Amino acid sequence: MIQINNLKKHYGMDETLIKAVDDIKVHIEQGEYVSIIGPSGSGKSTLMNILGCLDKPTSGDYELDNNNVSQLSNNHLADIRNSKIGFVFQSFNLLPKLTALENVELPLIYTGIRKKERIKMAKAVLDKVGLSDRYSHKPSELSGGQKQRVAVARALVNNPAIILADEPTGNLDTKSTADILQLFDALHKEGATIIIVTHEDDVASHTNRTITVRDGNIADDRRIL
Amino acid sequence: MKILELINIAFSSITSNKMRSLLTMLGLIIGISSVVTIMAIGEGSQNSIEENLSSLGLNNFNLTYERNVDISPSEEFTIKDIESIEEEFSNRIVSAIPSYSGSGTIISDIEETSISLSSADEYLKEIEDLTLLSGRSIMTSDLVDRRNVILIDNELSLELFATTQSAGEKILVKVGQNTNQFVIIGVYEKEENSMGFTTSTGHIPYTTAEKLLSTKGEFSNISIAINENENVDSLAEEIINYVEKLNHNIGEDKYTFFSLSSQIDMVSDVMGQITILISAIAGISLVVGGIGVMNIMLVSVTERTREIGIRKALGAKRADILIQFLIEAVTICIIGGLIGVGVGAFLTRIAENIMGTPMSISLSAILLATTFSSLIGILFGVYPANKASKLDPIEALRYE
Repeated sequence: MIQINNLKKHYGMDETLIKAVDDIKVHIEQGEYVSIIGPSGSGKSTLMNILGCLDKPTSGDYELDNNNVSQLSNNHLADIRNSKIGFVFQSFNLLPKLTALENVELPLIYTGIRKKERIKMAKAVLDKVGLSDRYSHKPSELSGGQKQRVAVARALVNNPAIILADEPTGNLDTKSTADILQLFDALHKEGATIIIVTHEDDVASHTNRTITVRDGNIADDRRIL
Repeated sequence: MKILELINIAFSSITSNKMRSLLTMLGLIIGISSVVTIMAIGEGSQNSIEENLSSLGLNNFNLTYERNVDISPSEEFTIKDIESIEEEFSNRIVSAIPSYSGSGTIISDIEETSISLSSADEYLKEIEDLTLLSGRSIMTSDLVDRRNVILIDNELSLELFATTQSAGEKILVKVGQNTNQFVIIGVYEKEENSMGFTTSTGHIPYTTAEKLLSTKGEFSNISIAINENENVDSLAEEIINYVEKLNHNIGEDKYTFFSLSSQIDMVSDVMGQITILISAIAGISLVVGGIGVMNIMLVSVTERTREIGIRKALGAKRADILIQFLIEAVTICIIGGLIGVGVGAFLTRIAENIMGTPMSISLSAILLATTFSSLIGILFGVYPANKASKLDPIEALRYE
């Protein structure tokens, strides 16, 4: 599913050179449930941006779902983000003026799917995350846990190859955190490929594989069976 | 398909910020409505001036002496000149008469009313396109017998006799030191006009006018009415050449002519130029309005940096964001333009009532206004939209 080789991301030149990601090699199979942990400044955010096709590596290869995406144009990357990746952010990143349904529809607009079909698909995923009674609520009318479930629904709606969650429980209380992690567990059981970037061991312990990043390199890669 | 979605997004963004959108449009509304109103007023008064002037007769002109040249007695107009002109151009002109004009005072028991007198012949009704409300026009016998007969307009008739059926009544007209009795032979309908010509005109036979208004029968104007299919300017030139030949002063440019049609052209020209000038000044407010739109769009882009980041993360391409913001700017401008046309229509109605001249907003003004406002939308919307589309999604998502 994901095949990364000699991946490097450098910023600046000569003396000010920062090696945010310095030679990472990792392989993630379809259906894996992975967490990436590491202290701040370790390079895990940069890695996450490259995994999410928001950023391009300085060198190295990144193969996602059999496509080499490491040096694609911005427009192609937008297509990849749209069709292959479902994002879940720490701060939800829902559009405040749109309803839950409209927020979930967003990626489908850029795919070019018709309104009628969009609504059907968006309702289906909202039902799946247990928000069938919240279609027309604005984000401000939803609790933190509900907002994050809308975000998960939005990530799922395009049936992506991977779900990429960046500190998905960082802004949630214990109860909501448990809810969301349960949701991820359930998605994993259905066969989804999930990557969670986090610094909480509790969250990492839910996953089957924990990759620890330090100083731009993978310091540890542990599978729990 | 996608473009409809982008239009939809732009619309909901405009409607979710109604007050701001309206204020953004305000500059454009003021600009467009003033341009539209000024164009309507300009066109309206131009039309009304043309109409008023043309109702005074277009198929005639006056032959007269060029200004600031010496005219020797042998070069002066004579009745013989007129007779020769009538003979030479008999199948091209209706009539040629010496033109006398002057002002007189109508003496009555109650008050004195001033009247301007103008000479006429039996073709008066056709030349001046008069509508008679009572009585008759001038006849050949009036001319031959030099009768003291007069045609007055309905307003004067109403004022003097409280009726428009005053044919047959007698009035005293004082010209200079002499007072003469005139018989009203007809009453004609005065043309409605908004230009404030308040003195009424009395038409009298030119033979009568000769003894009343001139000394020794001299005249400096020949009034010539031409056939309808003739061109005023070219025939006037021909007649001038002919008169020069008669008086043996060919090429000395001692005679000239003036006609209403040439005056109409001049007035229209001036009016048109004034309209363009004022419209151009009003057009400046359109540019100011456009800058206002750009200003708000720039604020909007900054404010919605995060939204742009989210949309990009979810798969929006650069072009999607560019078009979304461009459509927003253009939509604001077009809505502003349409409201401006509406306000302009309202202002035009008011101006119409105040000035009493029919005016209407032309289709070209509406097209011009909408084209102009969409152009402003594109022109001043491209920069903010481009700025939005170039935002880096990572940076934009981090923006608080």
